[in-house]
Amino acid sequence: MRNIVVRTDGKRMHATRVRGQLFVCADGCCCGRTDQGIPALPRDLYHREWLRRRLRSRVHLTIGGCLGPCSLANVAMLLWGGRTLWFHSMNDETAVLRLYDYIDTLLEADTFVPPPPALERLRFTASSWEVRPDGQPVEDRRPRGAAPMPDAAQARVVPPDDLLAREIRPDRQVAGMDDTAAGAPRKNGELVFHAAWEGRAFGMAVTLHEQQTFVWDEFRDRLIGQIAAAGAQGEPEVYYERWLAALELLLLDKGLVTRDELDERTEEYEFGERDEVF
Amino acid sequence: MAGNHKVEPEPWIVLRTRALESLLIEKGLITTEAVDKLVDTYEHDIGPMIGARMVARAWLDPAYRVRLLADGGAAAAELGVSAANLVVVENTPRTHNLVVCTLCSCYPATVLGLPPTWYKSPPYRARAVIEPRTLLREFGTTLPDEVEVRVWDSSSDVRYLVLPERPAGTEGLSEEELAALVTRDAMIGVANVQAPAAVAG
Repeated sequence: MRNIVVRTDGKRMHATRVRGQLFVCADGCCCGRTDQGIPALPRDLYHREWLRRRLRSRVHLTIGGCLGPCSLANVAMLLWGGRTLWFHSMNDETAVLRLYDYIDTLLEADTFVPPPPALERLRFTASSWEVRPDGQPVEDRRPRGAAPMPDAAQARVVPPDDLLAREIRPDRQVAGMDDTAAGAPRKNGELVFHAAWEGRAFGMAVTLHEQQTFVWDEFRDRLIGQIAAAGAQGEPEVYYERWLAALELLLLDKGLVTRDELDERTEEYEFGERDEVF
Repeated sequence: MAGNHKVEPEPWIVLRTRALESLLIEKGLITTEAVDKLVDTYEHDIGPMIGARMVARAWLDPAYRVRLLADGGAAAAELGVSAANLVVVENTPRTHNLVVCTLCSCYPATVLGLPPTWYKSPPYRARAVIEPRTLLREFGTTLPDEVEVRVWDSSSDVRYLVLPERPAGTEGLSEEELAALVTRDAMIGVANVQAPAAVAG
């Protein structure tokens, strides 16, 4: 089937109309860069399999530079039927072969079918027009401004039944805990902060409060709201993530910080345009 | 962007925390030094040993015990500790007290340090109210049926601290020796204070 396109020099040329196009990130800043601590990437296999399966006229293969979400290296992107399917952690032969098997399935089915579970687990969304594979809102890591804030004086906590089934694992006092690489010995036998960022998040909130930037209840109400909202969504219990979200929300509400400048600053850190660490 | 990308991508929450601190410093709202100092204080200087000193003093000095139960904040201030809103509840042979914050993590931080992870967990916050005895058993604290369990829900207005029972066999110990027996868990109410022999064993 001829697909004639007229070039600017007037020549009538044929352009192959493919069923899909596979982009593999291999020559960029991160993917496959073992010198940067990123897993190796089976680059040759992508090309070999593409030849072996005789995909040339049906699926175009582009092995090239940075595709974007560097934090998820190694990354591949499949354009198919107007969809953009991103896959992360494409680190080994098994993953690549699964991707090609899936492409074969798509060709055979002649309609869109979702990836098999093993491949679906590696799928993600990197564009605002695609829903996340898990169906969660794309901005799910942001503070939830719309979350109802229980009235601290009246709210009754009604715990879901499954909470009752879970056992508490009290961290017993660690007798004779010495100085270790894990951190200084704690007088209560437990690490105060499990990671540096938790301490910074805690310290920022308390410092701002001590300077009377806000009254504690303003923060506490938002913390309760964030904890409740995360619990309702069944998100993992990372306490200081809620803490940071509550602080962020309070500062946004007070107009001390804007979401845009915070998003922008976060990306500057992500892409190494800033590197001061506190 | 290529070329100057960071070597090891960091989790989003780390980047977000850094971005927020960077902005707050730029706007003159905080200084790195102030945050450093505060984090350091909570990591090293503030902890349950402060509450333990108050407990030991109450065991030794009946008048202090009365003042502690009447006004926890004022009794803390006597030791140079700032703990406004502190309410101390006393364990007796007939009553055992347990402290929780059902909504978040309110905790008498200036006398106990930062709360342990389990104190902030949804199961603890729920179960302390619904089935305190079962919960206490999981912490290794089995109470006779005739002991009444009272659960206190902390808030930003009221922070509770349990005054545990002084264990038998501690006659003649100094305030310092007694304070060494008092654990954080006992002042939250999930444990009792053990006599020195039991601690050594």
